Amino acid sequence: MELDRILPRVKKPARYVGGEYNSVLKDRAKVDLRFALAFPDIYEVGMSHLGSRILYGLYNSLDGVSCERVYAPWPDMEAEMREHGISLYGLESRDPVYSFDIVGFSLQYELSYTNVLNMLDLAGIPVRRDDRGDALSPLIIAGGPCAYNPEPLADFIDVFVIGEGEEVSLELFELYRKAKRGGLGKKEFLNLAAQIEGLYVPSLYNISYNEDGTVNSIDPAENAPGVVLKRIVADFDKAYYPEKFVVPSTDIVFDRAMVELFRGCIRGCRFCQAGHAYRPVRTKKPETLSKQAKALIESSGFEELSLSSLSTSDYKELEPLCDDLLSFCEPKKVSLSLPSLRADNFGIELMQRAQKVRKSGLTFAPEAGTQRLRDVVNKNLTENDLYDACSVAFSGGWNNVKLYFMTGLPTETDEDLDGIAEIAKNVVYRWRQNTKNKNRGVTVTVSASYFVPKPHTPFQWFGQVPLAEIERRQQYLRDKLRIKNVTFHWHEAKNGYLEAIFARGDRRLGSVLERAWRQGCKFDGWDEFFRFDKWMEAFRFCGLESDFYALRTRGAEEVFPWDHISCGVTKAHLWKEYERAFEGETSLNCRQACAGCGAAKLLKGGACDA
Amino acid sequence: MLNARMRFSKTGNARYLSHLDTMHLFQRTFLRAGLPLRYTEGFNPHPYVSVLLPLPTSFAGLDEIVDFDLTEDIPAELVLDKINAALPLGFCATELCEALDKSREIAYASYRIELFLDETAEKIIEILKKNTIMILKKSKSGENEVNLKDYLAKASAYSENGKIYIDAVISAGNKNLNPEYLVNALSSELGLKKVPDALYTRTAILKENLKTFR
Repeated sequence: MELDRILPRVKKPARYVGGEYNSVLKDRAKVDLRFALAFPDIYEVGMSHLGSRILYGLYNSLDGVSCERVYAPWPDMEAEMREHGISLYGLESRDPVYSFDIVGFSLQYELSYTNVLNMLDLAGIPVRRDDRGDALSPLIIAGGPCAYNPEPLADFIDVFVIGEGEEVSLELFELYRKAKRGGLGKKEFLNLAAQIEGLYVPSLYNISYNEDGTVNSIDPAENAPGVVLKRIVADFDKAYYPEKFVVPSTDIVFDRAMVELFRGCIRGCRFCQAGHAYRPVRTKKPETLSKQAKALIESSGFEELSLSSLSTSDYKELEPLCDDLLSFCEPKKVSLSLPSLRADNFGIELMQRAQKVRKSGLTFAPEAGTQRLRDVVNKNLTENDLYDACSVAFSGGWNNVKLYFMTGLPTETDEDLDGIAEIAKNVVYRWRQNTKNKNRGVTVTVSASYFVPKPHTPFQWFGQVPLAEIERRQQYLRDKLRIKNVTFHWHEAKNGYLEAIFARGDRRLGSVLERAWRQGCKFDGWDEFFRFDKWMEAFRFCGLESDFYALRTRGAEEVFPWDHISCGVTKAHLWKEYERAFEGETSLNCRQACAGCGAAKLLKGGACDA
Repeated sequence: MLNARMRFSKTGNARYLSHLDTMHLFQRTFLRAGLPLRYTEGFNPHPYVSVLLPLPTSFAGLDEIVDFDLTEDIPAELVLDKINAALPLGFCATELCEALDKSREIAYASYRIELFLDETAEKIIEILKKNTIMILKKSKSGENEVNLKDYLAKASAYSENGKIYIDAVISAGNKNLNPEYLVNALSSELGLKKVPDALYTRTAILKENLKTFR
């Protein structure tokens, strides 16, 4: 009732009510484990996340388990909730989050960390795990790509799930149920949880530091593993996949059906965390994908189907798969979208067929402006690959191309920035040469993000280029890119600086995070809420140096705060790739030659499907 | 039935969907129901679906109207069953028939307003009896001072359990007035500092003669 009085006053109230088609509300009497799947951003972003859709479907398919969604309320709603004493609630039942057994946060980007704290607080749950006592519930867990360096959140989370959640969370649920039946406290439960492969219990690890602020050693308690190895779904083709997606009642960012072609990536771009952390490559059969896609379209009514993966054109059977899907989609006016295409191996015929229903723009990611720098990052894409792809696209009627670049990559100079402008100019030129209708004009959109070195990548040792220098390079690019038909987008550099701090941060950052949040920081990924001054004040308050985390180039011997977390790829492999980068040496992709990165051992005898 | 007019209710959680959300929801519902729909032509084909009189976000609607075109003649009962099976909670399709009236014939709508206000109904009725209640009405060309009474065909009020219930028939369609203006006006006539919370339900869409739009 209270909620019904508040909702008319807030923006987009449909975010906060649930009840969407295909959402699941279970009978509480038949449930002994209630899971709150929390995404620390607004509904429109959280609902677009494929991983959450998989886990939501999987958990609700289990007897006795119910899973509800929780998103961060926009500040107008938060203010109303706080004023009227409404605790954060699960969208399905509207029961308060603190009454759930397990609250699981999805960590997709570092700038959502303040929202994790804010959501706990809105749920009436003490943010620090030390303040939560020994009651088993609610158990606060977190997973997702940012869990590969869990340390900045170690003070707030009881258990981190490292790697893919489909199998390990079921083991966690079983243990939880046993603990609940046996009346175990949280401490006893956590000791047992640490025995499950892929679960990291931060309270069981002691971190000591050197005088220079680097990590000296990471010491596990007696019963905890020295290294927590990530979990994967070994047989990806047979892995659980939902037949139904919750159909959002209001527009979301990626409002479409999605199937997942494969996990992992054969490419090994040296900046890319997903490309390393999600290895080994595991593929779904076209028949499986086709069945899953059709079920989703029929049960949802989505007008778009997206083939998701880290590099869609690397899927070996893409053409036959698309043929099959199109024969189903076209009569239903469902369009097929193929994101993450590489300019060197995408087929324009395929694109043309795929886009018969609706034509969207084309996006390529050359990442860097010169061949030299693309070799440093191991992108393995030539300018001619790009121009050829664009020429074919332009002659096929496209007149809208997006190009993604990064600035601040290792060894970047102004010459590389000149190269970005050169590429943009040449792409416009290709349009003039190849288009069949010059009157329609062309738009080439160039985006340049601020490179953030990420853990578990070959660039994890690299010191980020300082803010002031990046701002100079952005200005330089703006001047160079004043070209007809070219639009330039750049990101607020300060965001990228904070992201770099937390990406490779240690446990001591917990106090900075809490301070910044208490001073009002939240939704840091949103420009209208990002308060850089408050963050810098929080660093001063906690006596920590932000540049130490973002800008410092690490030595070969340094112990990283995430050295006890393994994604399967060895530090030795990453170091070899780091050295090759500075020699300007490219590496072959995994399909050409196995580099022995170490991830295949996760398959326990099976072969990497590169 | 090729040019279909469907009546539906939108209550509970569904009241929080905006007009555009509702249009999109019907497009997807019809796809899920497997109905053969006429599509718009062009770069971005979508099923031709028209929700007639936009219902403001957070308003419930008991007798709303959506028009769409089928490319095959299917019995109304069957269409209705399929649609209801494919609609989310809060929506209910109640009737399917040929469109009789033209949308420009919409002239009024009736509303039930639940006002969280501890006040006697007499006081409200007194205000509603006035000949002129001037309000500032926003339009595309700016704010204009108009007489609320010119938009009000009927209004009555009663109180119950510390709340005021108002039933009002207000201009809609071309000469549209959001019933929130009525509540705002009452609030300022009563000298309240803050506009009281209100829940709005549109109960019917009417023609000039105050008969139900069909």
